[in-house]
Parts: sequence; structure tokens; C-alpha cells
Amino acid sequence: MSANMLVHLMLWPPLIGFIINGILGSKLNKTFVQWIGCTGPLVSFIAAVLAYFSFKDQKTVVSFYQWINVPDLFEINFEFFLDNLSFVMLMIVTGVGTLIHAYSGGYMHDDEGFHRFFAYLNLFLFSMLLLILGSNLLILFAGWEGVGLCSFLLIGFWYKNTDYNAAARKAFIMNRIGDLGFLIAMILIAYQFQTLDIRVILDGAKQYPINEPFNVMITLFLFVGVCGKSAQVPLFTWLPDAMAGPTPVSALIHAATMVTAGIYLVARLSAMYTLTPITNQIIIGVGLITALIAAFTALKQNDIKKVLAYSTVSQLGYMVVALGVGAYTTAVFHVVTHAFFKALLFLAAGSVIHGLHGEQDISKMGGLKEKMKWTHLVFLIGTLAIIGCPPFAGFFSKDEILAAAYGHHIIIFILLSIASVCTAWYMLRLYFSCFHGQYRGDHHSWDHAHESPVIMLGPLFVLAILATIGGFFGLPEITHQTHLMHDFLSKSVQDTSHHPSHLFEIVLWLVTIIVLVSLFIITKKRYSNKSIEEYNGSDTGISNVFRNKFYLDEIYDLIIIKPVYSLGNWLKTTFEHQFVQGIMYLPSTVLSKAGTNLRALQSGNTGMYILAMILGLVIFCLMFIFKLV
Amino acid sequence: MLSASLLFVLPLVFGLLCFFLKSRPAYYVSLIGSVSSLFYFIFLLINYTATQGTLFGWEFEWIAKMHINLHLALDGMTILPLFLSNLIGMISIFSAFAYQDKRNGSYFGLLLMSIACLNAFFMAQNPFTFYLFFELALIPIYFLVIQWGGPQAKKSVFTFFIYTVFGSFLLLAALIYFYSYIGINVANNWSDVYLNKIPEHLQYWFLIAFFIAFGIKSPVFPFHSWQANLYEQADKPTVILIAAVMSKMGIFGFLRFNLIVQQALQHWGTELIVLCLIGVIYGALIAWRQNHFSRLLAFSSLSHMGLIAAGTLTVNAIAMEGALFQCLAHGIAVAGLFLVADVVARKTGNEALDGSSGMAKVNPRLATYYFILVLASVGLPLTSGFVGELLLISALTKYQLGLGIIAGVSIILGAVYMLQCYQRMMFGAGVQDISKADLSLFEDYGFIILIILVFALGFFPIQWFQLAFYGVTQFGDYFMSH
Repeated sequence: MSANMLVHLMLWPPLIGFIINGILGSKLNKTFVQWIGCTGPLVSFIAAVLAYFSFKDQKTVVSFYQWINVPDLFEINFEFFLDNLSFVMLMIVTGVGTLIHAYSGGYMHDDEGFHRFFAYLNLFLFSMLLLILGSNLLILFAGWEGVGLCSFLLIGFWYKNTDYNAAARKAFIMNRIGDLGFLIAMILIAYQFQTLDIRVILDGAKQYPINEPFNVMITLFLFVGVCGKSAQVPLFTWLPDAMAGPTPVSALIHAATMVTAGIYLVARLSAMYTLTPITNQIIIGVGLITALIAAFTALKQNDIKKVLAYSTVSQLGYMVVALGVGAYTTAVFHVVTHAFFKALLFLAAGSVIHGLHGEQDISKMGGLKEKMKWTHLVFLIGTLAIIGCPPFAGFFSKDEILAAAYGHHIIIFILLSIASVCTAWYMLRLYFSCFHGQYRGDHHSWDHAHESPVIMLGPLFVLAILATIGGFFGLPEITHQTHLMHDFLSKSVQDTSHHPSHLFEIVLWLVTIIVLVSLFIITKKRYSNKSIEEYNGSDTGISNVFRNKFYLDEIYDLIIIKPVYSLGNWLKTTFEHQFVQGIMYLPSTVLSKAGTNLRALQSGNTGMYILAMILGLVIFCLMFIFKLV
Repeated sequence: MLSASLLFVLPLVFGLLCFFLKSRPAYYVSLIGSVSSLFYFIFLLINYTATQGTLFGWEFEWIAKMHINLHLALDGMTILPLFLSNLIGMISIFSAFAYQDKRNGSYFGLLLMSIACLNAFFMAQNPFTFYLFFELALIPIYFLVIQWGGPQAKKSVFTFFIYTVFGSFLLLAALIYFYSYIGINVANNWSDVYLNKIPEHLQYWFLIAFFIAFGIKSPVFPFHSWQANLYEQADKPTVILIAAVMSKMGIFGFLRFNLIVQQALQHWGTELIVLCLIGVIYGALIAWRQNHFSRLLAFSSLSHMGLIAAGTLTVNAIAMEGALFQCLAHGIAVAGLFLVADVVARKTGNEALDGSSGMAKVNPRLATYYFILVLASVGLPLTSGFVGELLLISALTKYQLGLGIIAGVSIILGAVYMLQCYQRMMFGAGVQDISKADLSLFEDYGFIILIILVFALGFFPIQWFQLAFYGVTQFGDYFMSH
């Protein structure tokens, strides 16, 4: 099949699914809605696999039509681009996407907005495909904003709840702050390079010297966009709140795909970022702070989804650090493994929540491995993968990031290792709190707790297998095997990071194993038999700061939202009313007084009088013209 | 021989006919009038071939001693605004369907007459014709608001009138001076007008007059205080015309007259643009704090129009294309949003944002239409609102990076107030007494047409740009010459 055909087959099925379910969904029965909803992603996935076999290692451009034409600035085609980087992203988005669609069929089955849910998910997939396939930044941006929109719709899916609505709005607005950075960067690029076509930009960038100020500005503005979408400091606080959405949404959008769009963007433009070391320093700093803050916060959260959300933020911080040190393929590798194990963890958490009829508080869980054998198993696999236990997927990618960090500077390595230990701690805490020890909720909910249906477990098993073996796509150098992922990606992305020695690798492995085993023993002891009070007990000092998310929401509220809010109120009530209207009403007050007085003399209302006056003046002026000549 | 004047005459004749009819027949006559005017425009567009100059002209000697003619014709600049005025005219009459028994023939007659005047205004080919219809378009609106508006309508329309008339006088004075300055030169086309070079010290005076006249009409900060009251008080079919089309008269004025004062703009441009951008932020912040839907839309319009006006003041070809496109896009979105306001106000009896809470459950179709219009209004890519804003912000960024960023902040604030407004009106737990009645046929049609256009402009902007582009290339030569 031609590339053109395959791109059509990838893009449109989800959009068609969205249109059918969006318009007719309320009249169709649920099975049909589910079939429509799942077929679109599946067709996309098959098309992506076919495209992979026909066009891998090539750069294929597929052009549909001209979208915008402003000469020398925005000559934009509706054009798509297939290369190895897009294939990797395509596999995750359509593959994991299809699994999560199937899972949603079980998870959302009793919801009255079933068709709406599938419509939004399909629209999300379409936008995400625009994002990863777009051959120029403007198409990419269309997808970028589109996924933000779907995220908004799905976070606020249960729209009767005003808190959820607020969370949805927060996500959209924080993303939009980032989008403004992206938009400005695009405009600057258009003026600098006279095009937005990614390949032409990257070729053009090579002509400039290192740290050329204009390019630094461009990369920094773009990175503002990355901070918004990929939840980096200071724009990350929307992601934990986004857990208000249904759990499949958290798995698909807020863990596996959308939030990694920022990583994809930087990897895509890596040739430009390698030329701006100043920006890279800032990127490393932001990534480190994000990874640490989120990891610390996760230590003290009691909501199962919040822990996973902060863990996502922290892992994104890892990826951003990898980007900053120039290990672009490593970052993408971590995107892949993270998509597997984080989607797995979220869906397993969803299975727990589903089985407990909506309970999300881990202080009311415990001992669930008896009731949910399969969920327990896959959750354990996900946990082992994320904490970097060999030979699960997370081990290889995380190890690579740490090695690259070490190659750059030892401080980065140390800080990332601290975050890594925290990750192991809070994930094991989560695992033991949920599945081991005694159940801490009431008897009624224990009796009703149940394992999830096959349609939900199926996708979990597939993801569990991927989370187990996913790491073998990227075997480290020391094994003398080819690093498949690195090899594959090197045809579109060039790494600039340094690899440390083999000795370092071996030491790192040994230390990792020792640390993990000891953490496993400590946390098992500590969290298997904790009472409900101990979870909710008040903390002092630094743990209180962690529990309250470093008070960041409160700080933003104090220094940004409240002042702007008050300014708005002041402008509306005081300034607009007294000042602007006062001055502007002056002529009308005077005239209307005059009008009222004249009305006593003449009959007819003021309006008519003014009208007559004006017409008179117009005529007078016209006569004046005649006299002029 | 096709004549552009028919775009003025057609609605005018149907409008006059309406005055002699009872309400219901008058409604259908007005419907035919507006639809035929739109179709005639499309017919002209199909036959429109020029990439330079004017077509379908109609000239008539007006003031013989000064060689001033009434001159109506189509050129590149007029096409998108004319499409807007005819389209929105039709949408406005669609929306009046709900009022067909409550209004008499003169109401529909006046609606059509204002469409006629707006059409003529956009087709005006010299400053005096421009001025004539700039004024005339006001008169039907005046009567419409004063007779069928809300309880405070008199006061609000009075303020509006004083404002615009004040601006118009400055415009008239400037025009008289301009003509007396250029003396015996014939200036019955815009191209003739631009050929006359005005000394720089005079340009400043002209610029002040133009900025105030068109700034009031758009409106631009700080000349906006007539706006919110009028939008609140006028009845909805009228306010659709005012918000979607009349507000574009000011922008169109900037586009037509900026070339006369180009040198003055080089010196004062930044200050005036800053003024417009203050309005962008100011309008958005106040819109955020509004509790009344029509007033919110008024301040949101202030914000959007401020951005367009700021763009036009950069006197840059990209900004001009962006402005023409964005005028159309904003007109479509705001007309749709006022349609929503109309439906909601009739179903719930008020326009307080929380007054219709939970409506998405009861009226999912309305909620969907409304949401798409919100997206267009916040400028999401692939909807109508995006491309115009992109070009305007690009032009401002080129002018000065800081100004571009300030203008860009409007896309954040736009999302803040529009989404909050939407969620409060449509989402939430809900109130009890919302009429479950579905949308009427014409309301549905109105929404569907607008939404098709939202996506047509979003997915295929290039076709529309081609139309606007003729207008801008027309100016290309003058840019060079200055």
C-alpha cells in the first residue's frame, strides 16, 4: 500500500469513530458504541504496523493539501511525515491506545455518558496522531492543542461535579500558558527560517553558530510549551488534579501518551537543541527539580491515583533530564517503557478502584491480593518495572538515563538517584498498602470487592508482558548485543551524550539490586500492617510539606490567581464604572440634561430630538462643502 | 450587466416592503430578502475575476462641484466583509423567527435596511460614500434598539449614539479638510485617494480623528463604555448584527484609511497599539468577572476587536490579511454565541451565568453547538478562530516581540473566561425549571450554518485567504511607494 493510503488509514478512522459516536452515540446501543470506538484505533494500529514494515528507515512525506499560504512566512501544507521516531510514537499511541479503548469498554460500562467517552477518546487519538505525524510545526501544534482540548473534555467528563470542572479548566489553562510559548516560538521560527517545515528548520539551524541568541530564544520558548504539556515545574500542578477524570483517561492521556508529547517535540527538534547548550542547562535544571519535587510529594500521598500521577511527573522529569544531557534516544526509550508500565499501573489501579466500587484511598485498602489475584500480579509487575528492578522494562531505560546523567555531571547523577530511591519507596509503599496486610475498610465493601471482568484483564496482561520484556529493545552496551531502540532511532535522532565506562555500569547494577532488595524488605515490614490512623495521622516538618505538595497550589493562588482575580474585580466594579464610564458619560449626561430641558419647550422625545439634530448637522456640513468650492 | 448596487437595493426594497405587511408575512418577506441578498452576493463572487481593481461598479454623480460621486463596487478588500454582512444578516433574521408574532413589519424592515446600509458601507469606493453609509447604518439600528430593546434601552442607545456621532464628526471634519487640501484632484476611488500625499504634520491630526472615529465604532479601549450596556439592552437579532457586523466597520475603516496616515503611524503606531492591547487584556479580565452572558460577550468582543485593531495599526500585509480573516471569524463566532444567549434567555428567562446551570443534560445539542463556538472563540487550531489570530500575533511580534507576547496572553485569558462561562452555563448540578423544548428549525439551521463555517474556515483557510489576498495585493504597490 502507498504511504498516502496508509496515512489516510491511520488518521481518519478515529475521527470517523468520533463523529459517529458523537452524533449518533446516544441512540445506539452500548455494544455497538464500543465496537465503533475500538475499531478506529485498531485500524490505525494495523495501518501503523503495515507502514512500519514498508517504510521503516526511510523518511516519507505525505502531502494532502495546502492549508495556509502567506508568502515567505506561513506556507503550510497539510502534510505528514513518517520516520523512525514517528513509528516508535505511533506504536505506543495506537497500540497502547487500542488496549485502553478495550479496557474502557469494561470500566465505563455502567456510565450514562458511555458514547461520549468513546467519542472523546477517539478524538484524542486523532489529535495525537496529528501531533506525531505532522511534518510542520503548525500541524503539530494543531494536534498539540487538540490533545489539550480532549484532556479538558475527559478530565471534566463527569461534568456535574464542579470540582472536576475546575480541574479540567486548570489543565487546559496551564497547557495554554505553555501553548503561548510554543506559538511565539513558531512565529519566531517562521521569521528566522521562512518556514515551519521541521526538516527544513533543522537543516537551517545547522548554519548558525552555537548559542546563537535568536535560536536560544526559540528553543526556550518551545520549552515553555514542553513544560505545559509534559507537566514540568512550574506548570505541572495540573497533572495531579487531572486525576479527576476516569482512570482509563489517566492511563492513556496523563501517563502514556499526551504528557510525553513534550519529550517527543524536543527529540524531534534535537538537532536544534544540540546547538543551544544554554537552553540545555535550563532543561536539565527544570527536569531535576521536577523529578525531585514530584518524587518527594508522592511519598506522602494516600490517593492511589495521586501517587501514580506524581510518579508520572517525576518520570517525565527524568526524561527531560535525559533530553537536557543530549540522550535523546534514551529519553524516547524511557517514553516507551514508561508508556507500558505506567499504563499498566494505572489500569491495574483502575481495576482496584472498579473492584472496590470507587474507593481510591489506600488507607482504606490492604490485603487485596486475596480478592484480586490477577490484578495483584500485574500491579506487582508494574511496580517492579517502574522501580527499575532487573530484568523488567524500567530497569534498562532508567539505567541508561542515570548513565547518561553521570556522563554529563556527577551532581545530576546523584540527584536523579535520590529521586530513583524515592520512586522505589513510594511505589513499594503503594503496593504493600494495597495488596498486603489486613483490609482496613469496612466489611461491607470487603464482601463486595471483586476481580475485574476479562475485557479489563486482557489489556492488563498484554501490558504486563510488554512491561516485562519491553526493556530488551534496549540492551546496554555491556551485553554486547545491539541496542535495538538506539539503532532504530539513530536514523532520525542523533544523541550527543557520553557513555560512562563498563565498570561504572556494573557497579551501578549491583548497587541498584542491593538498594532495591533492602527497600523491599523495609517497606514490606513498614507498610504491610499499618493502621488507618497512621496513614492519616498529622505530619510534622518536612513530611507535612511533602503531603501538601510543597504548598505550590497555595503559592500560585496567592501570587498569581488572587491578584489577577482582584484586579479583574477592581476593573469591573471600580475602574470601569467610576472612571471610564464617568468620563465617557460626561458628554451624554450634559446633552441629555440639555435634551430634557429642551423637551419642556418642545414636544417629542429626546432620542428623536438628537436624531434630528444630527441629521441637521450632517446637512449643514454637506452645505459647508458646497460653499468651500 | 451585473451591478454591485443590487446588494444595497435588494435588501432595501424588501425592507421597505416589510413596512406595509403584518408581522408574519413580513417575517417571511424579510427572510426572502436576506437570503436573496446572500445568494446574489455568492453569484457575484462566482463571477468575480479581478485580482486588481474593482468590479461591478456603480457610480452616480453626487456633489458635482467637488467631483464627488457615490461609488459602490466590489474589490478584494470588500469580499470577506460583504460575505459576513450578508451571512449574518440572514442568521439574524433566522434568529428573529422566535419573535415573528411579537414584532410588527417595521421591525423586519429595519433589520433589512441595516443590512442594506452595511452592504453599501463595505462596498463604498471613496471616502464620502464611506462616510455616508457609516452614518446611515446607524439609523435603523437606533430605532431597532430603542423600540424593541430592554428597559434601559433608551439610555444605552443614546450613549451609543452620542459616541458614534462624536466620532463621525471628527471623521467628517477630517474628510472635509482632506478634500479641501487635495483641491481639484478627483478622488472617487481609493487608489486615487492614496495617491495624494499629505504632509506629515497634517497626518497626525488625521490619525487622531480616524483613530477616535473608528476606535469608537469597533470599539477600542478606552472608547468602549457604550458597548456592554447596548449589548445587554438590545434585542438579540439586532445585537447579532451589531456585534458581528457593525463592530467590523471600525476595523474596515482602519484598513481603508491607514494608508493615508502611514507616516504618522510610524511615529505613533506603538502608542496606539499599546492602547489597543490594553483593551485586549482589560476586556478579557472584565469578561472573566462578568456574571451576565451578553455583557461577558461584550467585553470579550472588546478583547478580540482590540487585537484586530492593533494588528491593522502595524500596517503590515500579513496583519491586513489576518484582520480581514479574523473579522469574518469573530463575526461568525460572536453571532453564534449571541444565538446561544438568545435561546438560553428564552428558555430560562435570564442571562445570569449560573441561571442555566446543568443545561448540557437537558439540551445536549445546544451544548454541543455552544461548545464548538467557544472553541472557535478561544482560537483552537482547525477552527475559524486560529489562523487570523496567528497572523495578527505574528505581525505584532514582528513589530515588537513584547507586543506579540502581550497580544498572545489573550489566548490564555480567552480560555479562562470562555471555559468558565461555558461550564457555569452548561455544566454543574443544574437548576430545575429549564424548558426541555428543543431548538426550533431556524435556530438549528442558524447554528449548523455557522458551525460548518467554523470548520470550513479552520480546515480550509487558504480558499478564504485567496479572496482576502486580492485586497491586500491591491495595497502592495502603495506599501512600496511609501
